[in-house]
Amino acid sequence: MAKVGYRIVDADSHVFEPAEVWDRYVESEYRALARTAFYFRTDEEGLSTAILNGRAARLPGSSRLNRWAIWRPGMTADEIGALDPSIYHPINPAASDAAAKLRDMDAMGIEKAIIFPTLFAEYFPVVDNPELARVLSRAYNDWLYDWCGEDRNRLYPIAVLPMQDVSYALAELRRAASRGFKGCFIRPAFIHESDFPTHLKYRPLWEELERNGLVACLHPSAGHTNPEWTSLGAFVERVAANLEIGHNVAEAVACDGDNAIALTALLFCGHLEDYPRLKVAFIHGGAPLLYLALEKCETYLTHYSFDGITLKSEEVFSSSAAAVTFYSWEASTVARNSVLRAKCCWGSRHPHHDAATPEEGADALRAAGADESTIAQLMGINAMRLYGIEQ
Amino acid sequence: MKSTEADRPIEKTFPVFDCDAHINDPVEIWTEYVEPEYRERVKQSYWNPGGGSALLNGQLTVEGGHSFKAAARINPIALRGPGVNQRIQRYLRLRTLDPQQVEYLDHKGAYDPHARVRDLDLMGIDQVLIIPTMLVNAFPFIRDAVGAYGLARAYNNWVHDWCRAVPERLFPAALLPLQNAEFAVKETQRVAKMGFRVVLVRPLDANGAYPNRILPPRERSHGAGPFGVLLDPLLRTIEEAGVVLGMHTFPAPLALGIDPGPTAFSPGDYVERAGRGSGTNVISSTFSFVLESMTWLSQVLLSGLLDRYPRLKMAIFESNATWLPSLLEHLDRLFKLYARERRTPASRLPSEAFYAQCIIAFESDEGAVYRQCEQFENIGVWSSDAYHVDAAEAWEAIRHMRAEGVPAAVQEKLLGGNARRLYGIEGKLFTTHEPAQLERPEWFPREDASFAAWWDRESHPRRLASAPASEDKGGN
Repeated sequence: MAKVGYRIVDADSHVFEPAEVWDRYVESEYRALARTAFYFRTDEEGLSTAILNGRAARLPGSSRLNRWAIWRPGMTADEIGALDPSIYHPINPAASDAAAKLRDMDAMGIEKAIIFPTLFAEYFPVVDNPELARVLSRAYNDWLYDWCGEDRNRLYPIAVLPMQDVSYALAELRRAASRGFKGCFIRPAFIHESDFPTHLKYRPLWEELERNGLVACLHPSAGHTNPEWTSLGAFVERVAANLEIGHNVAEAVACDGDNAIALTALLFCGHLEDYPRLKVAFIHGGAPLLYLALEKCETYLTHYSFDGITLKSEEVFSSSAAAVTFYSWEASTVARNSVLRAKCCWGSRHPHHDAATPEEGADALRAAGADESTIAQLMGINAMRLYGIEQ
Repeated sequence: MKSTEADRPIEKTFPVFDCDAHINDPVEIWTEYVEPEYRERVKQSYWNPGGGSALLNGQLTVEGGHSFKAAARINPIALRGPGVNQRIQRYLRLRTLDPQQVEYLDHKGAYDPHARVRDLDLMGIDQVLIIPTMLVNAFPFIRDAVGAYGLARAYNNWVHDWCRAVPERLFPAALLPLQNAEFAVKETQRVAKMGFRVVLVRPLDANGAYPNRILPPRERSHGAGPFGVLLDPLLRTIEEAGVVLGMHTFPAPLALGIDPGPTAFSPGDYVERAGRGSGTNVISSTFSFVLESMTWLSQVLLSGLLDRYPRLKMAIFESNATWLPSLLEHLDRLFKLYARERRTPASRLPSEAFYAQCIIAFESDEGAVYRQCEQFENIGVWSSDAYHVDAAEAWEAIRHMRAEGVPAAVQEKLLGGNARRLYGIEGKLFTTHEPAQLERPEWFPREDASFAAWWDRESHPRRLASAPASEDKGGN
C-alpha cells in the first residue's frame, strides 16, 4: 500500500457532511427544529442550501465548484483551477462515502486517517442555541462513528463538542470517550462571538480532556462565512472584499492565524502547564507560525510579568504532549526545525481543493534536507503516538 | 557573561542597515512643527504635547508614549538599547526604580539624533530607517483629513530635520494622510522631493478605510463609504516617485485604548479578545504585527495588485518573516486553484510578484530565516526594532547567523545590502567592533552567576513554587 516506504498516517483528513446527518441522525423529535439551527444540502444540479440560526447562511464557495470535496488523488492545482466554475462538477464520492475514502487512501498509500468535519467546522460553532447544538453534535458524532465503522483500524473519528454550553460539551466529550473516539474537535473561535476556548468557563472541559486522554484537536476553519468576531476569517473576508478578487482570501491566512492565537492564549493562560498531560493538537495550518508563537510568547510574557507562567514557552511546548499538523508548503520550515520535527504530523486535507499526497509531503521534506528516519516520524509515527493508535 | 567562543565580541567589515527602528514621537512634533494654518485641526485630530496621554479626534484619550515617565515606570518604547536584553529588562521591570533610574533607561536616542548615533555604534548599526511609534497606532484613526494632513506634514518635516543632523546614517520614513487620497498624493510628492526613501502605511481598518480600495467598486451598492478613499492615484504616485511603500504594523488598537465595537480594526483585536474571560491578558503584541501583514499580503498577492503597479516597491516591516516561505507556497497553490474564479487581472504567481517587488524585515533571533536563508537571500532585511521591548543589536543577529552557518555574503545582504539596494542608499561603514563591556551605574544589573541563577528561577516560576521556600535575592 505505502508508496513512499513508510507507514503513512493522515493526521488531517476530512468528510464533507451529507444531508443524511440531519435527515437520519438527528433525533426525530428535534429534526425539524435542528434544521433551522444548521442545515446544509446540495441538490443534483450542485445548488446548495445553507441554513444557520433560522436564516439563509452564506455559502462556503463563490461558484458551483465544491472546493471542499473536489480533490481526488492525482489531481493537480492547475487541473482544479482549469475547471469551469460556472457549472457543477460532481464531488469526490470519498468526501462522504467511507468505502470510497478507503479507496482514495489506498491510492495515496495512506494507512490510517484522522477524520475531521468540514461544514461542522465552518458553521457549527456559530449555532446560537445550545440545546440544538447539543443535538447536532450528537448527530454528527453518531454519523461519523458509523461512517468510520467501514474500517475501524484505518478511519479514526474526531468528535465535535457543543462548546455553546460547557455542560453539554462535557457530556458529549465523555460520551465520545466511552465510544472510543481518539480526539475531539475544538475550533479556535469565539463562541457566541465572545468566548474563546481559554475562557475560564471551559476549564472543566480541559480538566476532563487531560483526565480521559483524548486529543484536544484545535482545528480552525476559514471562517469566511461567519459573522465578525467569530474568528480571523470574518475580518479577512470583510476587508479583502474591497479588492473584489472573486473568491475567498480567508483560507490563505485565517486558519494559521487562529491556531497561532490559540497557542498564544493557551500559553498565556497556563493551560499547557496546568494540565501537563493534556494532549493538544493544532490541526489544519500554521506550523511555522506556531513555532513563531513560542518566541513571541517568551518575549511578551517576559516583559509583562505574568505571575506563575513559565517564561520559556518553547520549553513548555516541547515538554508538553502538544502536536502540530503540517502540509507540503510548510515542509521546508518543519524539516529544518528540531522543535517542529519532534511535534509535527503530516496531513493531506483530503478532499479539500488544496489537498496533497504523501509523496508531495515526503519529497518536500527530503528536499529540505530531512533524513529518512525523520520523514518516517513526520509522515506517520508522530501521529500514531499522539493518538495512541497501533504503531 | 561572555564566556564561550561564540560569545566573544564580534568584528564586522560590512555596513549594517537597520530597516526598522523607532523614535518615541517627541513633543516637538506638536509644539514646534505643526504649521499655524493646521494647528487647530491637528489639535482636534491627534494631539500629544507630552507628559501624559494623547487626545485622539478631540475626545478619546489614548496611550501617547510619554506617560510612562510620568508614572515613574520604565518606558517600553525607549528601553531596549545597547546591552539591554530580555533578562535585564525583566529584572528592571520588577524593581521599583527612582526617577533618575527611569530617566537613565529612557534612551535618549529615541529623541536626540546625536544620542541615537552613539547607540548605533554600540549596537553594530551603521545606518537606520527611522519610524515613529505611537503615531503608527493613532494616526490612521484620525477622522479629519485636514488634521491628518497637517500632522503628517509636521511629522515629516520634523523627522526630516532630525535625520539631517546625521544624514549619512539616519534616514526618515514618511507618514501619509490616507484619510484623503489627494492629500496623500501631495505629501508623497513632497517627501520624495525632500529625499525620503519610504512612505508608511498601516494595514488596518481604521475609520472603515482598509487601505486596499484601488478603484471604484463594480456595483454601486458597494459604495466607498464616508471615509472610503480610492488609492489608485496614490499607488501610481508612489511608483512614479520611486519611493518604497512601507507597510508597518502595530499591536491591537484595542490594547492601546481604541475600542473596535461591532467590527475589528485589526487582526490584533482578535488576539487581545482571546484573553477576555480567561482571568489574564493575552497580549496582542505577540501576533497583531504578524497577522496584519499576513492579511495584507495574502489579498495583495492573490489579487495581482502588484501586476497593476509593476514598478511599485513594497516593504513589510515589523512582522517577522518566519511565516513567509510557507505562506507564499500556499498562496501559489491557491492562485492556481482559483485561476478561473479570480476576477482581478493577475499574471504572476504570488511568490514571483513578491520576490520581484518586495522585501520583508526579520528580527535578530529568527532562526527560521537563517535556516532557510536561500529563500531570504535577496528579500530579507534585518531590523533592530530599537528601542522597543523586543529590540536586538546587529551583533546578536550576526552571532545567530554564524551559528546557523549563513554564508558571509548572504549575511551582508540580509544585514544591509538588500535594504540599501531597494532604497538606493550608499552603504557606509561606521562601526566595526562589538563593545566588550558597557559602563553602567552601580545599580544596573550585571549578568554574573547569581544573576543567571535568578533568571533561571524567574523564568521557571512553577519549578520555584514546587521547591522548598528560599529567598529570591536576584543577581545584584
